[in-house]
Amino acid sequence: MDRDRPLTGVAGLAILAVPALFLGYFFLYPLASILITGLTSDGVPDLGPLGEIASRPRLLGIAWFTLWQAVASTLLTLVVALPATAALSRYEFWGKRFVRAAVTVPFVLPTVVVATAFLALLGPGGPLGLDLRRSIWAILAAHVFYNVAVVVRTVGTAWERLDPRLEEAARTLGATRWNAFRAVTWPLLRPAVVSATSIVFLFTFTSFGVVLILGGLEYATLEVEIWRQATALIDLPLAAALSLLQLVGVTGILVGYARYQQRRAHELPLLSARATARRPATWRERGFVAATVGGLVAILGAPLVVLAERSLRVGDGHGLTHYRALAELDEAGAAFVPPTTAIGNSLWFAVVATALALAVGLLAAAVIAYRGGRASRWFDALLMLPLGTSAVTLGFGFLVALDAPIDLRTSALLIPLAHAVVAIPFVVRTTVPIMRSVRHRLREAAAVLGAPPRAVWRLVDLPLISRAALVGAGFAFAVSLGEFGATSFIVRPDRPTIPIAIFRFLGQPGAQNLGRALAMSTLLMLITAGAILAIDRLRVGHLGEF
Amino acid sequence: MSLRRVCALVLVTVVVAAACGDDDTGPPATGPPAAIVLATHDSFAISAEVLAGFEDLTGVPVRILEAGDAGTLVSSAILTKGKPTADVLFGIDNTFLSRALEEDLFIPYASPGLGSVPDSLELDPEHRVTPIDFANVCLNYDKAGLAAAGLSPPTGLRDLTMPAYRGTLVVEDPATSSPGLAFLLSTIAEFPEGTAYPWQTFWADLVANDVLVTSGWEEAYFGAFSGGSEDGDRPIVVSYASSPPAGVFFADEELAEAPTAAVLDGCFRQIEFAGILAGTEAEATAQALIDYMLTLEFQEDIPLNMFVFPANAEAALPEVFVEHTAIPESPNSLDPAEIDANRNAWIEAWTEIVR
Amino acid sequence: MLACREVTVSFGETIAVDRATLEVNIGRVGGLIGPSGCGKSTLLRVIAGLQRPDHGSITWNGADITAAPPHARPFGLMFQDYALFPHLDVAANVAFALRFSDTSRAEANRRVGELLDLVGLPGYESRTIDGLSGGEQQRVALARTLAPSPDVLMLDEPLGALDRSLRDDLVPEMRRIFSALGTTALYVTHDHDEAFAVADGVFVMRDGAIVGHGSPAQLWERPPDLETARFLGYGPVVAATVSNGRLDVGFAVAPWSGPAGSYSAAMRPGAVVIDPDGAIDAVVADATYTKDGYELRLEIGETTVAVRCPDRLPAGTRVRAAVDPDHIALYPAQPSTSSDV
Repeated sequence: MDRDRPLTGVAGLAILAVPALFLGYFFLYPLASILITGLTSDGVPDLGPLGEIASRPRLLGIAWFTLWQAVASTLLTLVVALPATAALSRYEFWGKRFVRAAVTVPFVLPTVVVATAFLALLGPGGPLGLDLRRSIWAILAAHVFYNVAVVVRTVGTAWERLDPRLEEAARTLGATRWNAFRAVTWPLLRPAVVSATSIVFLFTFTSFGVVLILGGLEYATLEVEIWRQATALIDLPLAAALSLLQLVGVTGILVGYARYQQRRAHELPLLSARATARRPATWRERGFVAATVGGLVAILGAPLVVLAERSLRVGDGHGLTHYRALAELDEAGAAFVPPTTAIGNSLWFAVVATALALAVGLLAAAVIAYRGGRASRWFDALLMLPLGTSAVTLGFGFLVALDAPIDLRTSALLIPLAHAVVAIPFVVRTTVPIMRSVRHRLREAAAVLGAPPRAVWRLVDLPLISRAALVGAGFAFAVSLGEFGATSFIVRPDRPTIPIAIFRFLGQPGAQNLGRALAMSTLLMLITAGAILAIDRLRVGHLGEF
Repeated sequence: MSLRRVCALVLVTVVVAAACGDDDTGPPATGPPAAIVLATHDSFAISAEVLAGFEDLTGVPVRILEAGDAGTLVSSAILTKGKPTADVLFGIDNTFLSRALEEDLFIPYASPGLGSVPDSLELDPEHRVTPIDFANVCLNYDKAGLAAAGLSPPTGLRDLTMPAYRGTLVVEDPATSSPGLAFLLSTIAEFPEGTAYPWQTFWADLVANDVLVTSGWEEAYFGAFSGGSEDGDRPIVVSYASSPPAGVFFADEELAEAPTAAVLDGCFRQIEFAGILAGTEAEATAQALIDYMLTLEFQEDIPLNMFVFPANAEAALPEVFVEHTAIPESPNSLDPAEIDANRNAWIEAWTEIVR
Repeated sequence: MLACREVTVSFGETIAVDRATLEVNIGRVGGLIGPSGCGKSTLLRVIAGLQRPDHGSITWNGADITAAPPHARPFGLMFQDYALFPHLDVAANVAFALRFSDTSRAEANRRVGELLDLVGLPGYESRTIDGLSGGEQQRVALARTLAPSPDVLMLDEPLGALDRSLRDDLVPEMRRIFSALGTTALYVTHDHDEAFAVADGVFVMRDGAIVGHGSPAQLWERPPDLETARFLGYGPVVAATVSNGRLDVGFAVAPWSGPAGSYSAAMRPGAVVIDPDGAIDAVVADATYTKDGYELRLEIGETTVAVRCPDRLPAGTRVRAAVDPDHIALYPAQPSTSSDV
């Protein structure tokens, strides 16, 4: 791999320029602007707010809580998701395609809606019979609920392509099933697991809605506190200082991540997913699939079922009243838009955001995977930064920075642009490990058969990574579709999306409003599952299962 | 997708972004503006035909920009001072007013429509902001829920500390919720510091009486309040005096009587203002919009869209309001300057007591 | 003519190819042999354009193509591990290179069918790569390399992964295909028998350098140096002296026309033959069955020599043997005097 890297020289720099400029202008520049605005007074740097953090035990406690809950949530997510990922990657069974798509559904649901389901499930009347509503467990459970998709889909993409013969070889060399996994499969999967772990960690480290609603007064993350300071107490310097602290923490994590990436990725013989999965043969295998996938479905499904059931509740019975009420809404009241309008807006933003994230993300991934070297590792870590950056801070950063040369602050395009910034890491994370494991020999073979470098990329790399890129695209789509916390701070022209419509309904008392909000949430679930299923079925060209 | 096509796509998107950005850049410097931009919070609502009425009147359409909740709206306006994203800002309330005035965000304008607005709603003598609507943050109770517990409705704030009302109240965190802050201010106004029973003692008693705190109004009303949904087990909630009519208006089935009611004692008045943002290039049209917002057409459309009361005293209230709500006669209030000076310290102190 | 001149490639401290020079004339098949790790594959990669040399040049028909990218060279390279595209079926693999020429789809389909016939896999068009055996993959790789009719065909250990009988079948098959197509080819292998069977001229590489070349017969009869002799299957090597027109290998003396001095004598099969009238006294150590009779290992004093014999003589049998100087090559004396290579 060290010989003849593609993407060096001028062409490589040109390809590097697109993602670098995009992130520079739509991420680093707004971020730097808001931090500078917050931490200067009359043009003179004023680091007083940083000192204020150090002197307030409550703020230090929040920083500590932010860190440990993120670690705990990430570990718990891995514990729940990895066994199910193994089952989904290695075995063929009825409903597998649906489960793979459905895990993404939680990802898009507004926290305020999910919280009602969690409060019902974790209350004394729930299946556990325990009152965990105001406990740390409610937060951890919600984090697992939201982030399982990241592990299942990121790691699953790598796992299902891994040649099972490698593990079989280990078995014939005397390794037990577990030892074979530990010595062969795990090290080969590790880059994908590290990718997924870093995303989950950053997500939970900057968790906002879950902690705000389920954490009560006792628990707050830095992100919640930044929001409180910026919007409730209007203490912008302190908010900026807290953002800086959060950024330092995230950067620390990413430095470790970049260090890890220095280890060399292995070239793997990539197989088609169809070739590696088989039907579970023994009772033990069937039991494994049933337990892991069943457990996953139960954990993710219970809150969703609660939500769907409630959307059908009318008075003491059930019915489609709330759905009909949605359909009857017209444009007359600006407060409530017909669902078709909100769905249309959401889908349009999601398509644009996904296209942007794919375009920029694939270029960035190509730079990272093919260029190699220290600089591209740092670029890799830098691309992750948006996931770990305070959405409030970034939203305000857009306001401060993007007024010239073109005033993007009030443009409808700022929304998909902001979504793309958050979605790019998903595209990069899902494709880089696969790109790295594409055997260099295949590119060489294409080159000696007369393929110019671009054709090599199109005919060899792209088909092999297309599946991973589609997984990334699915995330980008879901990130955009479910956006609320992240870009609700951006000044938004009056073009409500589905989550905003849901929030609207919840803004007024009345059973009808709650019912409509739940009905709309259920629609959002169905749209998400449908969109992800459709994306999963997309194929690049005629190239079948890749 | 080939690399070339990927690059092309990025380019096209950036160009389109630029083009759209251009379209949306505020009004041109001369002549009537292409549109007047109204920045507001995400609870703003008005009928489409009423909004279109302004265009019929002036030939200039109104474009709405939503910027998060009321606090976010103020922060955004402060951050974009001098190069605003809108011409008029609506939705700043008396808890944030002083801060906004201090930042010099607005151009003074005394609308002729102010003649019909009660003096008690006009908090800025310089007319930098104009009152548009008001609401009263009051205790709400679930009639059936209280009856089931054998309780009569509380008559004032002090009742809530009695053992009988133990475990019945849910309130919102003043640090994250606008009604939560209003309720805290109401208790501060009702139980001033330095008296025998200051607000800190009142809150300590509430805590002893098992008060539940949620981060936002939605979680309190739909999650914990028994009058909001079946999940709730608390019959008393901090909400608005206008919540009971909204509950009737948005009920699943037609209701003869409101299932909830407001306690008219111990309420706090929230007044929402509009102002012309300094830096606008369409000051005349902005003034026209302020005028329009005080017309009966606009004012009478407010109640059923935002469930607050119109500032114009001549505006007729819809029937559901007349039937199911009342305006408290002497709500608590505090001077905006005092609120601004103490807001953070009060919230910190409250957090220490309650957590 | 394909020519490499003074090609040097180093990876850090390691010199992989050391001033290698070779030439292959148009229409000829050049063999490149040498032990594993001697730099053969790296030299092929340089010729294919996959590896930039540190020094030296590659010319094709006199034009310097050292800096040309791989896709711009009229060469085909068949990789040792085939490097078939796992996401494409057999037909798409074979037709891959035709995408970059003005070949119509119909023409490409026809060519794929023709090539699959040529390599003995008719009807394999829609098979997946995952489902092919090693030999089938090798044939697909060969067909894929042949598809664009490259001016020079380079094959890197093309039969390396195949079983013996398949190789025995494919060696003449290769030769047949090369002469049928009339291509210029460079055939890399560590198996000298294979190279001798396929190539018109053979280059011997060791430690990155080309240490000798010639026709198979020339190389076999007079290996350029002792190491090459050993690599080609010469053995044993014994200390020898030449004086007065006689060669003395220690256990026997034979006539020799060459300068007097001390030498290392490398003996290839046939250097010692069983001869009842011979002067050598030997003992049979063991006998191994081969296709052409038995191979006996004879102990002559401290030296062990292999000889052919139609009969199986039991171990311990005493026989007489003689030396045939035509099967001995002399090299400047080396410290070690005896070896059983």
